[in-house]
Amino acid sequence: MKSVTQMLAEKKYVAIFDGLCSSAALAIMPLVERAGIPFVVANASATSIAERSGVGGNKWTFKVNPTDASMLDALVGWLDKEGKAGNIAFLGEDSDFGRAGSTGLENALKKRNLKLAAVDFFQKGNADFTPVLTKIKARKPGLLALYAVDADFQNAIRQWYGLGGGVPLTGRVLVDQVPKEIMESGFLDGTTSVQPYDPSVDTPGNKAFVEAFRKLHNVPPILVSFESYEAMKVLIDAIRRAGKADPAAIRDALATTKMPSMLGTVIDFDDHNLAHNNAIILTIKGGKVVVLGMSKT
Amino acid sequence: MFGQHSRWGAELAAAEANAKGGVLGRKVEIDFRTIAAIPRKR
Repeated sequence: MKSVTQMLAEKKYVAIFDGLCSSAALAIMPLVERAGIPFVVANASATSIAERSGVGGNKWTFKVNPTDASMLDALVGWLDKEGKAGNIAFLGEDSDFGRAGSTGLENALKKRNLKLAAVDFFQKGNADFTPVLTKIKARKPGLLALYAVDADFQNAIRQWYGLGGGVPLTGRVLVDQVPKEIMESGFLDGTTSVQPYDPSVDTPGNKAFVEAFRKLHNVPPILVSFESYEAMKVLIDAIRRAGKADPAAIRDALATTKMPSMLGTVIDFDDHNLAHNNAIILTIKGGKVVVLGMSKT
Repeated sequence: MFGQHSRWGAELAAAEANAKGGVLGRKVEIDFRTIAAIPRKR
């Protein structure tokens, strides 16, 4: 926090812009509130950032990217429309990450008078997923939401593959971490996942963004490139509308943002200073990730 | 990669605004600072 404290003490900035992890963003929030400087969150995804902002909370923090919870709401909304939200089993790491996944799914399902068919947790570093996966498979869920990362994700996927799978995955599936031979085998075909962004989104705005980004860096944009691009545009738009480089005026302008997104919505902030853009619904087809469509967060 | 791509996205938005004359008659400037941490998850 030393660098942010220094920046605030220098009193020459009109806003602080986040390209951070959630714990750092949460730690900065009280600092910007005391200093009276707008804080635009582009990349940190914790739901608690929005819960602590806006009405009854930090009036200087504005979250442009979706929260973990709003992403799951977009996914469940999509699955519900497809008639696939009624029989989801959950298996997640027994940690803040896994618990946030189960709570987010439960809340999104509850809004639609549904609930998780089963909930199981595993300890981080678990070597043997076979018993719990066998138990889940026997229950015959329609989908399995798997919340695992790193070595646990690799182990769980390999052991699920060994068991023959048979239940499509859902949730925030880390498709880029699936072992190549498993992905290409088509084993995970039918998986439905959600991401805030995919470079293949077919809108004029995204095509122009991807082209400009590639021209500069010779690589396509990834999620955080997109999030920072749109969040910076939101901040610049607010500075322009504020009419002066004054933090309080910029904060007030941020609160009345109405800016078109390249994902087809208009970005504005709710009572908790959280924007609700479209999320990208992805599936796996023939061993490849394909965009199915978009769903509002 | 996380920080680099985040920076590139923000820089592109600022560059586009500056190509159109900037904001309030001035160029948009971003002062990037780094923190010494590599998060495992966002």
